[in-house]
Amino acid sequence: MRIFKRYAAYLWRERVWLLFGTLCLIPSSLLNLILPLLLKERVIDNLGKIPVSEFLLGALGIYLALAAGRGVLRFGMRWFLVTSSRRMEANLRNDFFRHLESLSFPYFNKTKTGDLISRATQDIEAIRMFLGPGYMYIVDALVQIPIAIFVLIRVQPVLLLGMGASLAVLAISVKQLTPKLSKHSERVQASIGKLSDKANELFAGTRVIKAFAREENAKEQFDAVSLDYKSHSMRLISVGALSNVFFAGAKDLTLFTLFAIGSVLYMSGRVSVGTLYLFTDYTARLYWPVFVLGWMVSMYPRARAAAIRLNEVFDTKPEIADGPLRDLPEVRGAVEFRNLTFTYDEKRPPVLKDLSFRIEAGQTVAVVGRTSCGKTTLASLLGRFFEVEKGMIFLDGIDINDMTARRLRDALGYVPQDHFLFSDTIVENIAFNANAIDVERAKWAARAACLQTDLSTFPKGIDTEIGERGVTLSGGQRQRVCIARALYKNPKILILDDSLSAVDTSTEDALVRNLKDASRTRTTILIAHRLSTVRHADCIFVIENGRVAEQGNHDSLLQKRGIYHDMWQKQQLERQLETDAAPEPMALP
Amino acid sequence: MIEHDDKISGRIFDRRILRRILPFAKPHAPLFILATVLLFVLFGIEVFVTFLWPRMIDGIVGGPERTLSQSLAIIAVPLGLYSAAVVALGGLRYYQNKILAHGGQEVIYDIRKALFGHLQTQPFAFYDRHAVGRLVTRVTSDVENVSELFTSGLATAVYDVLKVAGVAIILIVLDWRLGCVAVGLAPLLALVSLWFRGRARESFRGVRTWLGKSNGYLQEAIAGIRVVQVFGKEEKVALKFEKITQGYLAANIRTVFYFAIFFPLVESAMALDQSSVFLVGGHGIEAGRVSIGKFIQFTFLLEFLYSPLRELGEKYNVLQAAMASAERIFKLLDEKSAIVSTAAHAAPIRGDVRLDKINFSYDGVIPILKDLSLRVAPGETLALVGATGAGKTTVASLLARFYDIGSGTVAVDGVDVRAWNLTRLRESIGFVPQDLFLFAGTILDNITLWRPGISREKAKQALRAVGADVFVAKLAPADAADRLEAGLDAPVAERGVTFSAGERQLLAFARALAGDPAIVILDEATANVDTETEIKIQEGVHALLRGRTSIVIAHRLSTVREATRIAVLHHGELRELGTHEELLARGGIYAKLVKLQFEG
Repeated sequence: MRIFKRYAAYLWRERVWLLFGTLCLIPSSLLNLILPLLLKERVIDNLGKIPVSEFLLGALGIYLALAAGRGVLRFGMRWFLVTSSRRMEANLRNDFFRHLESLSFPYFNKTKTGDLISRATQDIEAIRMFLGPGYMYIVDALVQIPIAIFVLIRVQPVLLLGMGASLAVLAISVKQLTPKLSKHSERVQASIGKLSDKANELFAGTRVIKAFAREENAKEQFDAVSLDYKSHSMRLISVGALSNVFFAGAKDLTLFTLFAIGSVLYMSGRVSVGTLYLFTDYTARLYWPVFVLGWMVSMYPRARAAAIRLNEVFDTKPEIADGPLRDLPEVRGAVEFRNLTFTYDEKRPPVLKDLSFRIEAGQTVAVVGRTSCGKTTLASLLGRFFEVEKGMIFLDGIDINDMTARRLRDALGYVPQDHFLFSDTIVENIAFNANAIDVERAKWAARAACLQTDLSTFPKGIDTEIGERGVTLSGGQRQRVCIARALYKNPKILILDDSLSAVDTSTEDALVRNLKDASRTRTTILIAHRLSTVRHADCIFVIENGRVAEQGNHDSLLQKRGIYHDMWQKQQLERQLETDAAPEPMALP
Repeated sequence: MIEHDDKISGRIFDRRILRRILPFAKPHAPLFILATVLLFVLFGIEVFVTFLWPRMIDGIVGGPERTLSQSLAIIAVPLGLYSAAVVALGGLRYYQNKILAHGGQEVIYDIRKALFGHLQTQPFAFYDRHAVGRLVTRVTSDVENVSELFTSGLATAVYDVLKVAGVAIILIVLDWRLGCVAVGLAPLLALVSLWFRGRARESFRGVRTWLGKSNGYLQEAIAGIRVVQVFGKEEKVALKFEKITQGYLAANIRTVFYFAIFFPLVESAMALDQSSVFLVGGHGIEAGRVSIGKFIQFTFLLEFLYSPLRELGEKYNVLQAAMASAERIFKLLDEKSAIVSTAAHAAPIRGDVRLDKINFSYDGVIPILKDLSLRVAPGETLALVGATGAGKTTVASLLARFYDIGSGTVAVDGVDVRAWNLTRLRESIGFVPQDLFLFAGTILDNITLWRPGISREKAKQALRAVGADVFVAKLAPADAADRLEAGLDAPVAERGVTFSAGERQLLAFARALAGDPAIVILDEATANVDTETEIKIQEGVHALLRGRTSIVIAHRLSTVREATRIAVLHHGELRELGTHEELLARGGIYAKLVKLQFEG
């Protein structure tokens, strides 16, 4: 039960509603049993003994009044208990979300989004079902079944034995068959998943399929998953039909038992018509509580598994812990990497090895190097997306591990490589940093990021929605919205992680100029592949094999005739080819 | 423009739709007929059982003056019949359920197949208009909903109506006074049920919408977690999520409310019916009009009358959803394919391409290509250059007949593309899009695209020719003897996320080359790659284009230089045509483009 401890706290928050709900539930369960008893004692048993005019109307009046009372109580029961379970679910989901937000980046690298979503929906729902409606049905069953036994044992114990035995068949078959049912329905769900994945892929790839005239093959592929789904469904149908036979059959069996035993007892005068009526009526009324008991027993493992899966997430602690220093002077923007060594995976060679360099406040520097030389890692580490040892990265001379992540990130404007945007309006994306949007400021940021011409082509300009309900932005446009978002924040340190790769060269030129103009009080770190982007930087660091191999400005690096010179030469090769008349590509020196 | 919420009539019995669905059910008619017959047999047995009760009770109610053996003889027959009935009910119920549901599965399998097959015939323009997600919904959940028409729908609806009518008649025949009371109050239950139907449907729709929003936002927030954290906006994003959760909660609570009202209302309505029956029945028994056994039978039969009425609302909703889904499906099935290949012209293609005075527009409003004429002789390479939106990709699409043109002629080997057999035409064209679409499967699958004519050997040749063999070999398990051979079977994850931009390019080249096309259409990727990869790609392009008629939407100078001629498009018009040197010397758009794109 320790597994459910966390969720018990959510129940406790709803204690008042749970109490009210239970206060409605118990009397309504009692009334449910009293009503047929009333009909037996006050109506059926009196028939033929007392003139109808003396009792019938009165008894039925009471019956109706009690039935109405039960209706009101049942309403209260559902309203209080199910509503509170829904609120509990909402609180749990909100807390789950907040907890996710606090987790560090590596966690999301190794966890699939779909998996987290299924935890946030299906697992939370499984727990809600167990703690909400589950509670309701179980209490209902626990009140009704013992009392029914108590009543019936006094009326006619032999008949009760027969009835109990056949209802037990129901409880057992529910407990046995529901796991089978859910196993098969999970398989059907999985094959629906496959079907929809396949359909998704084939529709998304439809242009390739058409271009290569592979329509027939696409049909075959779809048919295969469709057949698979059909066969799983057929199996579920068989198990379902069998379950149905047992579930519905249990009722028939119970009535038959009552019929058989009842008729023998009736002839020996030990049972009255009223008693028979009571038993048959109780059979119908107890059917659901008995069913639910069996069902809940089979539901428990599911809820338990869901709780364990959720606990896994809740028990994950953020890897990045805040440092002790809080009251620090305003950030100036000087960054230093000191003997920085880092690896994502202990088993593999480090990505960065003993790397050291300084960036003065207000400088515009560039970090260049071949693909996967560690440039992006450097940016991630500065944002503390991954944990580094102490004494390796400093902001204004203070170890970033000593300050809070909040303070560090407040100073950063980061434009990631994957140019992620929310499906919201453009202005909301640009002003993401603000709680209340300053439209003028957003427009200024958009201009600085060279977005104004693009915006003028959108139906609602800066208020245009991005994504399915609005426009689809090109890669270059997305990158520039991301840059505007970072500029809107007016950060002390701006990091552009290869954020101009999809922007065409003339726009790139204008953008870099804008950034330089605005950057007198800002440290700018350009991570780039295209050297034309970076040649105006104050200082360029060339990373090779996880170390700084060369550093200096464009001219001095060229003079060194090292790696930078080599890269520059290669990138210039195309240019030379263009002016050169030689038809064959030149061999590299 | 993507098409959004499709307008649906929302009627429950739309005869047009039913008439179109029935052909799908026809091949499986024996199943449905059998299931319906069984349903009536089941009903008959259930009613029959209720007649055993009065026989038992009234048979022995005379009581004491009979001997035990006499009494036993009276109940022996009903008891035997009853036990036989219980067994028969179990068996028949099993087969009835199974047969009906199987029939439903068969029908939806057929519908699904027909729908997907039909969608495969749709042209590019169709896919431009329809979002992938929506099409997936059509072939999955909409088809699923339609199955309800067959399982809990049509047959059951007819059955329910007959059942209610039948039971009502039995009740009235048994005792007309009691019967009239019971039947007279039944509409009350139907009313409650129908009231609930409307509310429940609306509130369920709200719940679904909010759940979708909640999941969508969760997904987005996880995808953008790095941005959220670096901007320190966890609180802002959490508050937005809480707002969505709040909406979801409110929608759920609305549903809870309707359910909390519905169940007690039904129970109360039934209690009212029941007491009325008791009132009339009590007087009847006293007057000797009704026997006790008959009265008990009566209370049993009431359940048959009430249960279909109680479920009326729910069934109505299911049927309506099924009808709406069917309507959406038929709307798609009604889309005629604009591009049909009835043409038989299927000679081998040499690769002589001619575009003559082409005018084209995607939407019929904004012209994309204006009076464009181009010619590519067999074996020639034509490079298309121009700013974004100049119409380069459109030219390539028209050649493969992805769209049909407004006016002018697109001809291959002197024959209009509309006269060519479409499959033959497209098989002869090697199409390399900017971004390679990878299917989940193996490398081999993605090279051959399951084309029967392409063997493993051919796939390997293609990989070697474009220089993709090196990294494919790296994908093989370490102990493989023939690394390239084993690399072919390396799995490709969904959308091939694990491949770098350069690798994707090379794979795309190999895929096109494997088909040994007469014509190559290459839409070069713009992604930045490092210089070594760049050289590999250049070599790959070279291998791909050699000896084939090619049209290249070029982004690399090296590719442009390799072209026989260069066509410069500007706002859908051909502005310059010639070799690299000629165009540079001319000092026009091309010279400017070169300066802009290739000089720092």
